[in-house]
Amino acid sequence: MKRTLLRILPILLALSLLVPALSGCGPKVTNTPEPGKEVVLNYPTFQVGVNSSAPVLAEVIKQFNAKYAGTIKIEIEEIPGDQAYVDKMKILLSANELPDIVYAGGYNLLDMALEKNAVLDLTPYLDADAAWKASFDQVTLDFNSRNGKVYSQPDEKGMFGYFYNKDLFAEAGVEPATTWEGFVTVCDTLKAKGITPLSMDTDDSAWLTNLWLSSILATSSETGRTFMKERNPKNYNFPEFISALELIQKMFKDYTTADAVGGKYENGANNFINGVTAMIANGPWMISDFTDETKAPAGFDEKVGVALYPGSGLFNEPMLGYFIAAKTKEKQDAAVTALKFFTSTEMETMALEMIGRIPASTKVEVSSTNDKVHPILASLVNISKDAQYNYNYYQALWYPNVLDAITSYYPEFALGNKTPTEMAQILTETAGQN
Amino acid sequence: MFLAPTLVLFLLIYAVPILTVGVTSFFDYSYATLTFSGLDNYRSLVSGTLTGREFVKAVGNTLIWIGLQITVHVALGVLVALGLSRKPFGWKTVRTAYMLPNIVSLAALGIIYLNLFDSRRGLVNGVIRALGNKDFSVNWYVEHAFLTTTLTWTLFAGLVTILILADIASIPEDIYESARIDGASGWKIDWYFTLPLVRNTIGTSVILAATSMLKEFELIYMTTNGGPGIATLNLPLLIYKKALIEQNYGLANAMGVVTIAIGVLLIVLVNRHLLSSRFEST
Amino acid sequence: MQDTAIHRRRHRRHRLRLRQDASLPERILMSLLLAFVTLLSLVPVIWVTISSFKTNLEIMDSAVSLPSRITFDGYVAAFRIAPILTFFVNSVVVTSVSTVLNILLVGMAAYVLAMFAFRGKNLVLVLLSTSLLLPMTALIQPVYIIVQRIGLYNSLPGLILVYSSLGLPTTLFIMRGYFLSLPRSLLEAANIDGAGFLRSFLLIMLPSARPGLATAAVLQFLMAWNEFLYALVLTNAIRSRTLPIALNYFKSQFSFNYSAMFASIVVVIIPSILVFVLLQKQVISGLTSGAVKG
Repeated sequence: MKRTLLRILPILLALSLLVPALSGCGPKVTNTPEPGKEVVLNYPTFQVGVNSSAPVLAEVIKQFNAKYAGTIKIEIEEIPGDQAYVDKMKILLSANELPDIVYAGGYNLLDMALEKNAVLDLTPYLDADAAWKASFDQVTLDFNSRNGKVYSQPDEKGMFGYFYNKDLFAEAGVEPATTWEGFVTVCDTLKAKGITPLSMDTDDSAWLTNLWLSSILATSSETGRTFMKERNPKNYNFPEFISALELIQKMFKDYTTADAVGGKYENGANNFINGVTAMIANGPWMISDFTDETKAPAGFDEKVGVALYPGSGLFNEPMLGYFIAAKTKEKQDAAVTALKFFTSTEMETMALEMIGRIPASTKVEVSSTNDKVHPILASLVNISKDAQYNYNYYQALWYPNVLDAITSYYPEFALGNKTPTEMAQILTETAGQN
Repeated sequence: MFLAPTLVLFLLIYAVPILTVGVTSFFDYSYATLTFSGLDNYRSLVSGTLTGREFVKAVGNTLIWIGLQITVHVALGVLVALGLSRKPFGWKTVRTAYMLPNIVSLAALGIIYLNLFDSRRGLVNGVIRALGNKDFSVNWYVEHAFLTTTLTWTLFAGLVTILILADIASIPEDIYESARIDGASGWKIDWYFTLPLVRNTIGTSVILAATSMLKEFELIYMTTNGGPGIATLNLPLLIYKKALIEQNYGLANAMGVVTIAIGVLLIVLVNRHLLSSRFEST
Repeated sequence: MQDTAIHRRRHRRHRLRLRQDASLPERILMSLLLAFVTLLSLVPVIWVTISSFKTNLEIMDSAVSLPSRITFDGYVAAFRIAPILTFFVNSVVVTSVSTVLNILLVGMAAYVLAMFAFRGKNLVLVLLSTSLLLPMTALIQPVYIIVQRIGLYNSLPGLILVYSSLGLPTTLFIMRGYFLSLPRSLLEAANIDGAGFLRSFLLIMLPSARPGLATAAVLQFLMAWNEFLYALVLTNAIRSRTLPIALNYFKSQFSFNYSAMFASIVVVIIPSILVFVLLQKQVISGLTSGAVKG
């Protein structure tokens, strides 16, 4: 025991001397690369565990490392849990130690990293590779650009309508509504038949609920449409937003289950899958749950239809993609190679066929003749052509603390203890703290 | 020499951070900026803005929970310890069982509680329905968030019980012999002899209970996230939100400084009233 | 040893008599209280264990129902989805080493701070006790930078170092309290014996403070076994991660697998319960044979 102590003490003392010397934020020495040596790229991801993208990610990395064996190797950091991922990225960001490749989709990490000047400009790489550039449409390039420079590239596209239970709709004799007045009528009719119309939630920024909110805004007025295009909006206190909240409050009160208030996504999802509710707003990743027999009754997927939101709306916008924060030229080049691989036709086709992920590349077609594409997904892509209004989803646009405030304040709002005006005021105040 | 390792650990993990926290609480400090801003952060804590309201609520809740913890929680722990010290049938099982919620990781407990208190499929409502109230459906973490959150730690005083029980076991028995000669029995022995003798350990328990409530974070974060509204917000959760969600490190650190101040005050108070010799010079 | 046994036996007899002293209503009330707290403590653990054998459908349907048939699907999925075994081994290493390190080093400091007078002692005490109050969330970012700079990022030694320190205030507080309650004659006897500083600490003082030591060790163990945020932030590879992170593999914003999640909870909590039950025996025997208290 004494010996161990004697061995530990000098180490600890040495450490104590090192701290003042090192904690002074000295510049990190970059090792000069040995020629011919494998470049190791660090890439953290939350697409692990039960995340629906986990199998795709594992396969993509496996194929990449096999293809570039000896030259480039991607080392995955598994960060399970979306919030844990964002938290850790923020800590790394403030210490100026972001990993080589960062996935920014849905969490708006790009703009924060840009403020720290930690992001590689991809424009020269795109200009040098015409074929790669051509695989993105202009909207996608614009969405991933700041001040005329492209900083990130996505490998998927956000496209979600809402799912409805065809059996329950038939039982009530209704069709998916085309206007919001019609939507209220559909809900009333379902309710009169003893069917709960909607799956909703308030936890984790109320995803199932706020897809409806976003859609009301984007389809009902020009002000709402402009608002749904705004990045990090600061003002929520305007008549269109408040009247959208009024409908949401009515939906909480009259059209959903009791466990929606304070409830997580799981509750809402489960209610729909088990035929308790007739509609749920969600993305195509949910299709795999419809066919999972530990969660859904056998053959449930055949009962599910997908529809445009009332007012002919659809979430159909580019996503933020991967950006590169590698610090040496060598790693930056290697990371670009990785990005090209992630966004290649082969990989996006694979993701489409494995989990029904909608490709960002213009070169990949979602065709109903491909029998690896689930009919519901094909139908979604099909109706997307008819959508009059395409818009992005709130989670990718609003401040993180606004999303957090939604989680905290929605239950009271849902129960009617807060008016829509008060709710809008709170969101505005919260956004103002940034 | 013998202090050295501890001091090194302290310097590494606490001193440097404490210094950072203290100094940067006077700065406008986020991931991209670091400029001196004087007392601005502290001023916004007492202002009428949203931050001010959140902060006041968080301090209030933290103090209420500390109050409940050092009274109800510690008293329950002591009471159970006194009960167990008489070694009734199955006392060892009770002792172990009562420690279980303290052993299970908070991350796991959070998930379990969310499921126990779920309004539709939760165990609590399920049991109440099974007992006859068929339409019972209370949304615990929304309608009674403060009460429900409080219940998830106040009743679980196993640690206090273990500490007190250990202390009782080391009381020399001649003290009890003389008590018996005086004709005392049952609760009277506990009240007049046992409790005064374990006073120091009660003091330790009070400090541990208070400081643990001053740090309580995971369970609230996982269950109510401070809501509904700000009903169950406390200081550590607010600090987390300001630091990691709003990236306002300066403000978060000002709150950290206030938290430490409250803690020092508590320790001084407890020392004065309950402890004879802990944490003061010999 | 024999002395201890006699001591213990006398204790037991004495307690038995005490028990008979209590009046009937008092005994009934006390039994009710004990039954109540036992039930309260056992229900969550038992419930999650039962639920882990149910299917997702059954879990989402009702909390009071029993599994229609025992299925281990949840456990199979849990081990497939998360690298539970690696994490488990890491947790054992990190937890045990940091507990030993913490108790030994901090115990030594507690001993010095309790028994000896020297200049600047009060300052040291005040400094060390402020660390009892710091919210862990306020420390995370500076600690990350330090661990990164001293080259211990993403390593088990890094976690061990941090956990040994995180438990510093609690251990110091408890151990110093016990040392203070030891009679000074014990120390003087050791000095007459001619034992060196380290020897008298390791061979006489530490064993005498066994109750405190055991308590502090249990607390340190539980903290290190269950800690999540630091484990996540200070590591980036599976090879250096610990068990609490495993639970997060079952949380994703848009998908869920409750039976696997419950199974992983059971896998995570059973070892800590076992360790506690085993260690508790040590705690108790340490307690009843412990030093004479004045």
